[in-house]
Amino acid sequence: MNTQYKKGVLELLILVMVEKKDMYGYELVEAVSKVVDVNEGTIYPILKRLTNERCFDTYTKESNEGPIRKYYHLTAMGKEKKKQQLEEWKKFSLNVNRFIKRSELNE
Amino acid sequence: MSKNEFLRKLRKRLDVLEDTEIDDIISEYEGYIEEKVNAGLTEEEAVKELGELDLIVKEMLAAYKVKEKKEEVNTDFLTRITNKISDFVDSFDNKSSKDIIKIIIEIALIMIIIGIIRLPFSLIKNLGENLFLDLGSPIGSIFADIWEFIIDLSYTVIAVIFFVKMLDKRLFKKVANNIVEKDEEEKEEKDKEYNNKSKEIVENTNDAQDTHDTINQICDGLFKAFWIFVSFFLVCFLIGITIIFALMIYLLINGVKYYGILLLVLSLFLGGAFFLEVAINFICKRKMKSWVILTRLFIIIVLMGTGLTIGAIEIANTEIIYDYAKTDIKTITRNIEMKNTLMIYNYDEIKIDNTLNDMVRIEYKYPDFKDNLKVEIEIDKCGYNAVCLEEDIENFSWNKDLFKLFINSLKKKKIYVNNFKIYKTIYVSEENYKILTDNKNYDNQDSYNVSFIKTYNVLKVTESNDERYVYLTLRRFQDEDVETVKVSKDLASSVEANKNYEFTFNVDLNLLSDDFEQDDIEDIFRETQLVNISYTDKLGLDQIQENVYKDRFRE
Repeated sequence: MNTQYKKGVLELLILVMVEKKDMYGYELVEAVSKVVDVNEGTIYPILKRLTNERCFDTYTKESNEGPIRKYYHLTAMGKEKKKQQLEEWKKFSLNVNRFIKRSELNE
Repeated sequence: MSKNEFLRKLRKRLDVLEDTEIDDIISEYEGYIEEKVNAGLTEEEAVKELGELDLIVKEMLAAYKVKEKKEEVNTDFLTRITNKISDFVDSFDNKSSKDIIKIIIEIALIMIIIGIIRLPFSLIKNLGENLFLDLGSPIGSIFADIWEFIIDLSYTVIAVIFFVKMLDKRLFKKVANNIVEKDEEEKEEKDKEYNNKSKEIVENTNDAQDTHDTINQICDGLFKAFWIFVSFFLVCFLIGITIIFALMIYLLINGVKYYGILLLVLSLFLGGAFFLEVAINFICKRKMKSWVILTRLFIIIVLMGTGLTIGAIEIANTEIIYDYAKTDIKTITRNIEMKNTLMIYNYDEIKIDNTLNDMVRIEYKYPDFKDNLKVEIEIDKCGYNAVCLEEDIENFSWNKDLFKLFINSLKKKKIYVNNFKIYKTIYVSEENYKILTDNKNYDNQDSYNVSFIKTYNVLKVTESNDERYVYLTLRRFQDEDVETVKVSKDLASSVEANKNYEFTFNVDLNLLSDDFEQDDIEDIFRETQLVNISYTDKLGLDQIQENVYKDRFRE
């Protein structure tokens, strides 16, 4: 799959996932890579960017097994961004689907 | 690739980022790998699952696009300064009190260092200033002022650069996160605007964000206002210096060769133009490279220094002559009558001429500029028995003759200071010379205070409406004149009617009016100051009646 496609969608996916519950980095990486085939290492830069954009608050928590985990929590600004991106995505995919259907019919 | 190798490579590749950011990223990736190892993978497998290092680095740096942009910004000297300051203001938002204290201590340290740097500058400043002042002429002091200005300016520039550099190094590393956030926000905002959804964002930004932006805006606005203010003055300065420069060129064409001063004026012009350019560039947010700024500043300072040195030598070689440049002299004379008490003020010279008997000849000499200078002699009484030599100058203006005269003398490196002075000489006979200079000697002081005693018989003491005063009705022995005068109660508290009292007065003789009559009680009380009243039992001609003028005025 085209990496440019993935990039745009990854951000939305992450926002949607974190909105449901606070997640830690590795958990997110695992979850995202199940949906989209992606280099796991490249998910973190998106997290970092969204954090810098104040879409996430972060806090750390000890875990029973393994290292201290950094949890991501969606802020009001993050929610706004998610809402907006979701709308855009829906509109975009709807338009694209419609167009494809129409052109298929015309063939 | 092992975990450590991966992390080491990653760290190296992310070197352009701030240290704290790198640490954060490394710990996160370390976490991923450890989680994967916990899940049963080997380190190598875990690292492999993360994907290609190149890609991670590329994405990571892309997330920090700002950082690369920041490197570019480095070349823009002025934008950088303002950015630093607004970043600095921003930084307080997210800093703990401990950090803020640290910042304050750091700033204090920088200030102390800047203060220490000041010392050699003051030294050079004073040295140069004294050197110029030693030249003695008024032009020397102007040069001293210019020198002072140049040194102060260079010090300010260096101090500002130092301050920014130090803050850059010590402080801003710690607020790296904030810089990233801020720039990302800006970028985000632009994206939003593009999508026509900026309004929603504004609504959703929190309060802290708002104050943040306001401070930034104020900061920006203040800086802009400052530069606009500065450029206004620079424009005025440039206009002035251009006029001076044109004048200097004109003088040069006419053979007046002051190259050093010309160079100095040129460098001042270039300096003004340069600062104006900087100011305009700043206002328009155009970029300027710091090396360009520094080279130009250096060239201007070198020019200025050279000009100043050569100019100082030129000025030192210029002769200042306290005389007329013009040989045509106009003379006006006036005679006045000699009196034993006569005093004459405002003359330049006194000479003996025995052909004059009881007359004093006053001679006014001044350069003849024909219609361009009309002098009206005014010999006024200016005090008791004193005459002041004054003049009324009319029609005097800069004209071609005067200008030519000035240029011609400048060509020979001479400046005639007294070019327009009116020189006043008085001629008197030898005998009168002594009297006149004697009188004059008394009058070397500005005032001539004397005290004298008059004895009066108090006829009546009347209370006054004003509690501070009483009325005394006085008469002098062998005089019909009776006067009632107002006297301070403090002085007249023990005065009784029908007794004789000695009244002591003080007066500055120069302040006495022309028609002052020393036997007139009213005049005495009006023009002199009563300082004491004391009882006396002396009668008739034994009573003290002192002459106001005493021996000085030989009346």
